[in-house]
Amino acid sequence: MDMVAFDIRGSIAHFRRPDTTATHLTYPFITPTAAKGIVGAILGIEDFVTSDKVGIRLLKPVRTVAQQMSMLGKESGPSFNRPTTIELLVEPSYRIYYAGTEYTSRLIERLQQDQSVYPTFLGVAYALTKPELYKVYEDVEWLETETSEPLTSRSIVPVASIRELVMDPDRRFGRAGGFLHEYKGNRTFERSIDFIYETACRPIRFYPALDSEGRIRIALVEGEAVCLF
Amino acid sequence: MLTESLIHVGRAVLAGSWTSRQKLALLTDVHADNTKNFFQNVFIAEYSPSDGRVAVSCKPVGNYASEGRGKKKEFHVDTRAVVAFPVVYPSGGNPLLAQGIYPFPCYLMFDRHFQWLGDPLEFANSFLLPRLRSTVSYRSASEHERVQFAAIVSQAMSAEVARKPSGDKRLGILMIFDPRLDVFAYGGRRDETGEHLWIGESMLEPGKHLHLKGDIALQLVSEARFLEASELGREKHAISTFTNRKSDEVVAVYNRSWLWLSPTWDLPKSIYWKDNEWTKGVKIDRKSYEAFLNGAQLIKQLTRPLSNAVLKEIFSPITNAEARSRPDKGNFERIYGAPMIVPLLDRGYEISFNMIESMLREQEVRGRPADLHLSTIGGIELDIEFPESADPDEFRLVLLYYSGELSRGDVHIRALIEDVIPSVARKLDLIVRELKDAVVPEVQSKFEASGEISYRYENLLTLFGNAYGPGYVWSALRDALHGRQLYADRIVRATAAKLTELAKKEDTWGMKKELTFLVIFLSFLDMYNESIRNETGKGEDLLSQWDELMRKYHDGELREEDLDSPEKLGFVTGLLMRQFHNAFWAKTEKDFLKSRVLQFGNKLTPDMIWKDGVLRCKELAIKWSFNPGKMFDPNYAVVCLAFDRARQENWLTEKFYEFLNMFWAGYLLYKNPKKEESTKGEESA
Repeated sequence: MDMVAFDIRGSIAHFRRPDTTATHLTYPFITPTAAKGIVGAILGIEDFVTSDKVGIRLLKPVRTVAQQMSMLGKESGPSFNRPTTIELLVEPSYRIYYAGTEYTSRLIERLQQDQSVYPTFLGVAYALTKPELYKVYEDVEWLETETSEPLTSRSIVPVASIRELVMDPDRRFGRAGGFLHEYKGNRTFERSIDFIYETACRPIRFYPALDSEGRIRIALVEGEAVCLF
Repeated sequence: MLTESLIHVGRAVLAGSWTSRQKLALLTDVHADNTKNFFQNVFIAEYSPSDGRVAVSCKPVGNYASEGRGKKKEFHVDTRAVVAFPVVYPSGGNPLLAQGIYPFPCYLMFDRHFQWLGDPLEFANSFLLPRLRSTVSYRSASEHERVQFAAIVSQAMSAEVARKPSGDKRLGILMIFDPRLDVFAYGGRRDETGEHLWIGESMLEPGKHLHLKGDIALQLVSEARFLEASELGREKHAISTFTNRKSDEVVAVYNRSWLWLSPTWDLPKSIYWKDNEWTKGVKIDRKSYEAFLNGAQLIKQLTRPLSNAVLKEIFSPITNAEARSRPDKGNFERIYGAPMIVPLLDRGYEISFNMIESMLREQEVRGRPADLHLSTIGGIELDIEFPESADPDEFRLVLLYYSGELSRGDVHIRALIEDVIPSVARKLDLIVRELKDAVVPEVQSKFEASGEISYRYENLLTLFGNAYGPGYVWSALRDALHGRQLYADRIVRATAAKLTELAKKEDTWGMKKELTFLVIFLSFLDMYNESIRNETGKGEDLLSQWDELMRKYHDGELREEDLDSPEKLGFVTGLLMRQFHNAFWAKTEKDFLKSRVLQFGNKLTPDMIWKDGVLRCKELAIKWSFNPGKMFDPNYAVVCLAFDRARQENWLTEKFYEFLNMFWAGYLLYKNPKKEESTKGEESA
C-alpha cells in the first residue's frame, strides 16, 4: 500500500473542541477528522467519507493564545453581537501521512500538480493553508504483531496503541484526549481517540499494543513508526 | 475534550474508596448553600401499602444556634444526616414546577407549595402528581395508581401542615417513605453503618427505623440524570464516543444538567441535525455518564475563586505606576480556578483518586506537608499530596480558569492549562516559596523596605501579572508550567517606563519598590532556568554584583573591564551621578538630575545621561567651584572610557531599558561611605 506525506502550516489555527459552548477552545493540534477534511477539499469531495487512514506529526511545539472576538449572531438579527473568547493555535505546522486504497493515488496526483479543488484551511475559514507534498512512500512496510523492542515515533501516538510508554527522562509527554475519530457523513461522528505526544516534537518510544479490533495500524517509514488512525 | 478529562476524574471517583454516602453527597446538593434552609422542615410521609395509611412527621435536620450573644439564631444543617434526603436544587427554570427527573420521592418544597397544602387536591395535582410522573421509582406505576397515591399523601400532608404555625417564606423537603420501593428499608435499629442512611423513626411501625439504601439511591440518581440528558437525543445500540464500544443506550452529552455543556448558548450543533439528534455529535453511554457526573460534581467542589488581592495584581496595568497604584478593586470580574488530575495512560485511577481526594483534606487531617501547593503556582487554595507507591509523573495536572455565572450556563473559560507534569509543578512551587522566604527579604532589605507586605510575590499569577501585564498572564503561566522559555524583556521595558514616571514625581519609595520587584523577578527567572530548564543562569547574583561594584567604586579599584555590560555601566553611572548630585546639592541646593538632565516633558534616555549628565559634571564642578567627592575623578575616568565602548557597541540604544533600570538602581543605592560609617558608629555607641 502506498502512503503520502504532505505538510500544512499557517500563522493560526483553531480546531474547536465540541464540548465548549460559550468559550471556543481548540484541540492542541489538528484533529484526524480535520486532516481527512483537508484531503476531501483537495480532491473536491464535499462530504468526504473514507476508510483510508491518516497519521499526524507535529513539526512545531503547540502554542496557543486566547483572543476576544466579536461574533455576530444569526438568529437575533444583524445587530446582535457578543464578545466571545476564542483560543487559537499559533504558528501550527503539521506533517500529515495519508494511506489507504481509496483515495491515496488521487491525492498524490493532486499534490504533485500542486492543485486543490476547494480552499484548504486549518479548522476555520480564516486560517488558510496550502498543503505541500513532502514525500510519497511506495510499498510501505506495516507492523503486524506486537514487538519486544520499543518503537520510535515522531508522529502522535494513540493511547490505545501503547502497551507501555518508555518514560525517557528528557521527554515531556502530553496527553490530548477526546478527538472525534470517525466521520460517517452528513455531519455524523462516531468513536473518539486519545493521543500521547511529545511537547517539543521529539521522538517517543513505546511498545505497541493491539487495538480493540486486534490489529496494529503502524507503518514503518525510514526506521520510525507512523501511527495511523 | 474537557468532557473527557471530567470522565477521567469521575472514573477515579468510581474506582476510589468513597462510600455511597460520600458519593450521594457529591452528586446531589445536600451540602450546597442554597438548599440549607430547606432542611428546616423535612416532612417524612410514611406509607403503609397494607392498609393505605400515610403518617406524616416534620423535623428539622440540623439545629438552631446563635453565633454570639444577642445575635439571631441561625440554622445549621446536620451535615451527616442531610445525605439521607438527597435533593437537587433546580438550575434555572421555574422551581415551583416539576423539573428534570427525580430518582425517588424526595422533593424540595417552596413557600407556594406550602400554601397549596390548604387544598389537598391542589397540592396533589399541582405539586405531587407532576413530580411522581417524573420519578424514576414510579415510572412503572400506572397513572391511576399515581393519582390515588398523590391524593392520600396530599391529604396526610395537609393535615400535618395545618397543625403547624404558618410563617413567611417557608421552605422544606418532602420525602415519601414507600416500602414498596427498593431504595427504602425498615430496620430494627438505627443503622448508619455500611450502605444504609437513617431517615427517621417509623410512625406506623413503632420501634422500627426508616432507612435509605445508599447503593440503590446512587443507581437511581445516576439513572435520573441519564434520563435528563436524553432530552437532546438518545439512541439504542449505538457506539459511545468515550468507550468506543456499543452500548444498549447512549444519550447526547449536551444537556442542561451540566451547565458547561448547556446548549442555551452558542453551540457546535450542525445545521444538518434535528433538535433531538445531538447524538450525531458526541454521545455518551450510561457508565461514562455516571463518571462524567461524578467528575463534574467533584470539580465543582474543587473550584475556588481567585482572591481579590491576586486579581488586583493580575489585572492592574503594568506600564503606568499611577494607574497601578489606584486600581478599582470592585472592577475585577471574579475568576474561578479548578484543578483536575488525569492519568497519562488509561490506568491508575485509584492513585489519581487519592491525589484528587488529598485536595479535599485539610492540612491537620493530612498530617504531613503537602507535596504541591496550587495556591503558589496557580492561586487556587488547594494542596495535593503525591502518591508514595507510584510516580506522580504518570499523571497530568489540568488547571481550568473561568469567569461568568455557571448557574446560568454563562461560562467564559479564561485558560485551560493541560498536560502539567506534577514534578515540574512541584519544582515551580518550591521556587516561588524559596523566592518568598529567602530572596524577597534580602532584596527588600537592600532597598530599605524590610517587612513590606506585598502580594506581588504571592504566586506565579501575581508574578507574571506584574512582570508581563494582564494580557500575558495566562500564556506565561502555561509556558512556565510546561517548562518553556520565559523572557525578561517585557518587565525590563515596563520597569524603565515606570521608573522614569516615578522619578519625575520624586517618588523614591515607589522607584525602590519597582526595582525590588525587577530584581526579584530576574532572580526567579534564573532559578526557573536552572531548575526547570536545566540551563545555568547568568551565574551572577545581582545583589552581590552590585556590592562588589560599590566596593570597588568607593575603594577606587574600578577598572574599565569591570563595566563589561550595559547593566554594570548603568549601575556605576548611577553611583557616579548620585555622588555628583550630593555635592551639587550641597553647593546649589538644586537637584542635579531634575534641573540639568530630566527636563520637563522629556523622557530620560541613556544618551541624555551621557550628554547632559556625565559630560557636564566637570564643567559644572569648575563653574560652581566644588569638589564632587572622594574617588570621583578616577571613577569618572573609568565611566567615560566605558561610555566610549557603549557607544561603539550601541548599548545606549539597543540596551536602552537595561541600562536605565540599573542606572536608577545605582542612583538610589549610592551611599556616602563616610556618612554610613559615622551612622554605624553612632548606632553602636
